[in-house]
Amino acid sequence: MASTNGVMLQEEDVSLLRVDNINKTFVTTRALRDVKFEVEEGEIRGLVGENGSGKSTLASIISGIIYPDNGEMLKHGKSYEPGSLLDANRSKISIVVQEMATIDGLTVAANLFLGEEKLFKKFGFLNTSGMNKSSMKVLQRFGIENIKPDADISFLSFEDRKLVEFAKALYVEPDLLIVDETTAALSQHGREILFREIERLKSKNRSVIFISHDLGEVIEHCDHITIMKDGEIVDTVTTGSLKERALKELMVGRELQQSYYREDTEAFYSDDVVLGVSDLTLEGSYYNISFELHRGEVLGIGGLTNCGMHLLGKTLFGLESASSGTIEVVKRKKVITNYVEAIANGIGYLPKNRDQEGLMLLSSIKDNICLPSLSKIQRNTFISPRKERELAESGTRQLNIKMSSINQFCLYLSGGNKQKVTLSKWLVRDSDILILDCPTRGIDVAVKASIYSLMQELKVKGKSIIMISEELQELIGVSDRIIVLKDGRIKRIFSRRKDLTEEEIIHYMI
Amino acid sequence: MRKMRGIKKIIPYLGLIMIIILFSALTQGSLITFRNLKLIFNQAVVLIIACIGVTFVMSQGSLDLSQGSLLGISGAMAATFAALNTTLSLPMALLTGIAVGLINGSLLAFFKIPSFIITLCVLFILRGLTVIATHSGSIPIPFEMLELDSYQIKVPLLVTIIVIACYFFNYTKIGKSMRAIGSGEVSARYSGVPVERMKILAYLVSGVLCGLCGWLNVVRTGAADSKTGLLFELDILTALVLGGMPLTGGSSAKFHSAIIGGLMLAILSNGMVLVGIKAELQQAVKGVIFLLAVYLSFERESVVLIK
Repeated sequence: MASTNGVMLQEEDVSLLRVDNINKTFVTTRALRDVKFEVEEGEIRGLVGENGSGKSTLASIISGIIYPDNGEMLKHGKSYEPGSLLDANRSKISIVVQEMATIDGLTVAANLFLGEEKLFKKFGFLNTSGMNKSSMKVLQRFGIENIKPDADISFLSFEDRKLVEFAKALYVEPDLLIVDETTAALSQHGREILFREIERLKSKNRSVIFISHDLGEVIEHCDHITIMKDGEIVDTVTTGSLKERALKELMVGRELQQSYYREDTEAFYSDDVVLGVSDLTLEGSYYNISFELHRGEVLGIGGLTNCGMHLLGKTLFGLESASSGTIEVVKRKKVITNYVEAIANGIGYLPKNRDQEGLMLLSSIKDNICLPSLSKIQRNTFISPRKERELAESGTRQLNIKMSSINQFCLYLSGGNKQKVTLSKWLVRDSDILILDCPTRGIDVAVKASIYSLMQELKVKGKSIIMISEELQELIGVSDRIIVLKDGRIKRIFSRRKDLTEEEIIHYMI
Repeated sequence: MRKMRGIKKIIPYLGLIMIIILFSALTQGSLITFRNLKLIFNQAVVLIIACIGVTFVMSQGSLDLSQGSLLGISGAMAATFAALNTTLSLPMALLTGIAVGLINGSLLAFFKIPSFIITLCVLFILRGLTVIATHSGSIPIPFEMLELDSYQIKVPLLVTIIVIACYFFNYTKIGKSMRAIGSGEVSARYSGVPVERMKILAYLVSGVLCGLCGWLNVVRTGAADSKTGLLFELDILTALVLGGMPLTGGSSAKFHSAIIGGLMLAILSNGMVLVGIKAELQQAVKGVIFLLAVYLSFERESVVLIK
């Protein structure tokens, strides 16, 4: 695990990309601090760190999306100052960003050649069919066959949209490709395409910066791994025989506890049923779903992305109306038909799509946390500002949210802290039933661990949790029971046991 | 950024003071004579009340452009029914406002048509109805109703409306839910805000207050005219933006925008008359000011990548 930074400097005269003493400050947050970073030709470099450690900021600066406050960058020894993403593309550096970067309402082909339309100019008009043909070729070259160039991109799944972005980044034939936290959105098939192309770039002596929270994946594919923490580079290590655990410790900067999943290996919950779901069907999505959720139970729901489990989650919270069937909060003998009733009867929901559905980004942490609880803290319609403040403070304290004050906009929080705010909404409301849709998506190990221990804490307190997840390890790790869905139908219900394996579950998923 | 926000907060107040100083100087002090201040108050009452209504709509990130014609039609209704029985005039004006608010709100909530399209269409429709109701002329009201145009009624009325609306906007679930919709409709829904109900309610408030304005206006002028309220919707919008109301609504929507903005525009209009600017040119000046206010207040916050 020797540091290779110094060694590389001597071996190579000119590296592919050299970043020198870059600083970047957002409002009050110092996102990058004197960052020095080098990438050699033909190298796959992993970039890891907790949420808010500055990985995406660094990637955005290299790819010209944002500018550094000071410092310089050199590409092949020459000064490199990209003014925009297209500028960076011209210098043969491209990026697949973490967020969705395709434009709704345009076709796949138009998205693919955005900014390059002049290639298809014909008598002053855009030659659409020519563009479609070229797109088809590009997509096929990268082994993406199921996507039609003339389809409106908004009808594509998140994964397919990511693949289009990926093809767009590759089409530039980059010397340096940056992949920022993309694999979390991809299925096995998508990942295969991604890594195949990354290896191909490497074989052509091109380089890749690979950012991911999935440390196993990083170790498997990268030659060297750079670890960031709090806007600084902690170390760069050669992958070699590196273990995931050692890497985690470098990231967090302290020894990790033995395991972050719960320790017991048996299902354990009360016999009281809190939520009864019977014969729930939503045409075209899921069919005849029946189950009972008990007090103190963590009920996992797993399956492929499109197996209907995400819509099922929304339905349980009353956001979608099922075609038939009922959801009943047993204690209050109340059948849930809409989200207002769901909340009033103690159900909380953590959406998968945090930034669009979970948070009001341009509102304060306080406003976000208090919103579902307003009816609880009001007295004869009056909501006292003091009570709001107290509620928000107790919520942020409980989850240890890193912020400058409760009046800070959520926009400026890191992913992990955003997720904590979203969770906090339901905790301060003291919801009895929590529906968590992918609660640890795109979140670093430290926050992940705190979410798991929080779930355990809630379970002990007698709260019930439905956790919808695409991560099998997590399902096995924290659930009392796991419902496996396939094509919208319950295929199997597993009970917690010591020797439950991912393979067993996958068998029923596919 | 925080400092910027601090400055942005006081810009409307600074603007108000600057306008007062500017026009006081230009008119050699006749702007702030008691007689003229009464005149400004009379203009401001209607504007501020209407602005308060629209504040609820704009806090959700929607617009209400139907106000100009609503002022006209509610005035026409008030005058028409006053001829039968004077006690009917106020309820009829308010009912008109409620009905229009319900229509605006329901169209927005259930048919998902953009609010500025809906209210613009309603603006046209109501103007047409106003012209029909007034037979392209004007309807006078009974003489004894002119007594209602008194400060003993208008001052307490304005204060009451300000206090109640301010309370609901800042200290209740209703106001907070409405701003939440402006900050992020989907997230607000997922946090339990009954979005449709809130949208209808906002237009209802906006409608009923505009109905009241229609009545106040008729009582003051003594007649309902087919041209009453022409371009009033743009005055309201200009006033609110001058007062610091963001067009996007959301958490930065503040209640004081309605009052500060209403006062500013009333003083501005009055001052321009005193200075002797022609009516046609006044419109042009207002247009420029509107553009400037939007430019200064527009939130250019781009989403940043922090990870």
